[in-house]
Amino acid sequence: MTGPRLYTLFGILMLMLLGWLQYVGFAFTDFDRVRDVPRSVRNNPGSYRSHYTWQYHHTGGK
Amino acid sequence: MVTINCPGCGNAVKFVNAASIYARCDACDSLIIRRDVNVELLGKVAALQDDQSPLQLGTHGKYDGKPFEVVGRIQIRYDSGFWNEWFIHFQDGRSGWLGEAQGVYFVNFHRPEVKAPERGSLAVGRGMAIDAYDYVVTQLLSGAIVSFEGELPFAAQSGMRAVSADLRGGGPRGVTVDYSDEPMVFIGEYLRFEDLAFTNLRDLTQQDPKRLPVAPTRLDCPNCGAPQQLKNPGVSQLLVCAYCGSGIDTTSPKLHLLWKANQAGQQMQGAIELGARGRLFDVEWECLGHLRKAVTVEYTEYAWHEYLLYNPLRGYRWLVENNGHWSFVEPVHGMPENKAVRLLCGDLPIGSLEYEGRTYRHFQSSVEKVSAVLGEFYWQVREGDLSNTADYVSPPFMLSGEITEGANAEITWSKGTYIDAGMVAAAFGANTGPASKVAPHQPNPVQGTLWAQFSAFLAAALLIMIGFSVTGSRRVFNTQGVYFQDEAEHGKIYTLTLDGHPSNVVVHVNSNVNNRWAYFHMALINEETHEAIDFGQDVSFYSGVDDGEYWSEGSRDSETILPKVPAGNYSLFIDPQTGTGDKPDPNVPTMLPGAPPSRALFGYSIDVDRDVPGWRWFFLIAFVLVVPPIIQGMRYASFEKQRWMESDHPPLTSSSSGDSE
Repeated sequence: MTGPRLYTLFGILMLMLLGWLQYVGFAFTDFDRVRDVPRSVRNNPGSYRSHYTWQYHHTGGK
Repeated sequence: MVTINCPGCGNAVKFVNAASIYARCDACDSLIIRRDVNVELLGKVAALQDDQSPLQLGTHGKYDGKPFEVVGRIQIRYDSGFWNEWFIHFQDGRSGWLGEAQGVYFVNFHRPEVKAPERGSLAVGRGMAIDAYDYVVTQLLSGAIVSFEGELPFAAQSGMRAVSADLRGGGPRGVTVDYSDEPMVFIGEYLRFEDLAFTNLRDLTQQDPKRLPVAPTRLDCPNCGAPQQLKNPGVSQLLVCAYCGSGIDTTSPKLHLLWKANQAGQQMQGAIELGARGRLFDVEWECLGHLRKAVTVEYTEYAWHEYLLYNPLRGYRWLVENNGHWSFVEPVHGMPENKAVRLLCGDLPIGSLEYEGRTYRHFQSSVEKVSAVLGEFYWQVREGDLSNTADYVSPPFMLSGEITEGANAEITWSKGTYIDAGMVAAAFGANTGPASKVAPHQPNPVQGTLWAQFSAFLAAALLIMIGFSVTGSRRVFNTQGVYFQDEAEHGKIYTLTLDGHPSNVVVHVNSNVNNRWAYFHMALINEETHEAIDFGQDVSFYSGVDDGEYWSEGSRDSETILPKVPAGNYSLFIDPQTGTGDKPDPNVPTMLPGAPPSRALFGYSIDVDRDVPGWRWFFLIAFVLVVPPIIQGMRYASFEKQRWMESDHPPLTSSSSGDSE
């Protein structure tokens, strides 16, 4: 990656990558995606928590 | 043009130039003087020597776009060889002179209004102003007129003393002061053969019977009797016997021995055979001579090889081989300039020079010694000859200055161009071998730096980010809430709409927690696909005073980026949590006016933004982009370090810098 021409090509590719990353809002982090959430759960926040918060046992604090 | 009949033989003699008074009759070699309409015979003229000049009477050329014709010639012989002053007539009626020898061409004009410097005041290397320009005396010459031909503006006689001084200025400017009689100043320019657009040149393959050969082309060595061939009689002043190594003076048919058998030249191995012909830069060159030179630094001898090339029209050039690196070297007629002294006056400074718009850095000064000689040369070089030299580099070029002292004192400059060994091998069938070390003017294989491109890319990346910031980044949801101590269920569901292409969603939580933590379990549920993205964010803030010092830790802000979220209608589930058993915070109501202060543990604000530019990607790309310029710069510097380690100005190393302390 030392020649000016090669670097120019590399730079253009990097700029294209930057544009794509910004366009799709890319992030390495991802989250659990839960499929087929029942409408009743969405209408009842309390019941939703009982189904989908099993992995979030946050203890927090000091 | 005037044509008169020769009083001696009746042959028609032409006077092309009105300023011409004297002419030589080609038929009977008589010298004729023209006085108005009368013509007188002054005597016979000696024969010209065959000095291998490609010019002849009737040769046409162009100077400064103006055509001229060669109408006369004076042939002079100096210690350094023959020199011709060709009298030229321009179509516009002007006349001038074209100095020529060994491929050097100097168009000059007599300037009677310019005062000549006193001859006694001249010394090689001395600088002076003539006609508002700076010049340096490069050579003092003393010789004699051999003969002349054609027409001339003054009478010339064979054997007449010729004394002159050559001065060079910046660029192609030059001055010749003729001290043979009343001092006369001639000012002009040094030009290349191809600059003068010559036509009607002499056919050098044909022997002119009117020109006397200076030396035979075939001769026997006066020492060992071995047969020799002189390639360039009339120009070459020395031939080294290929059998016994004796030096033969070829300036006259007497062939004096300059030195007897010498083994050094015979034992010298060269990459290019003597007599080999090859094309370089679209010109065919013949290798006539081979020198080995050396410098001694701290008891170590560093040697290199120089091959003398010849072309009848272009003159002499050199191919120099050092550690497998090759240079094509040509003479420089202008004087390089130095910022400190403006024009070099006999010194070879340890600094930078300016020449033809380039800056050359001083590389090395040394005393060069000729250690072996083979072939034929245009000067009488000897083993052991010394010269003071200095090299200045601006890759792929190198300027070399050489000062020769003594009776034939002279300052000469040459310009070397680094060439690929393959070119030499292809042109001359030379066995060039591998190169080692770094040559002083070897081009750095790392082509320049990449910082300019990096700056351009960084600016472009910044523009991309600004573009996304302006066109994207919009808030799609905001809510505020309070966590009450005795509330049974804290989870709430909100609705929001995301539009556009799949992009990120940034959820920002801000809370006024004080000496507590809060965790926000959230889910973004797509109403069409029934898919939920589960995520959580926590904030915490603790502070206090220990030993009279305030401390704090944690953050009241938190941010989560949800990537590649498609457009659609969504439900946002928010369920704040915190530790139990804590006391309500009396400051919380400031976050949600109207809430009962006694029950609140903390307040919070949640913002949801769409299409938020990720500056982390900008910085990551910038970091990736900066790596090649850094590597490039390190490689470039490493090569330059190797180059300058061989010079008089080695870069400081840690050990050397430590030593100097």
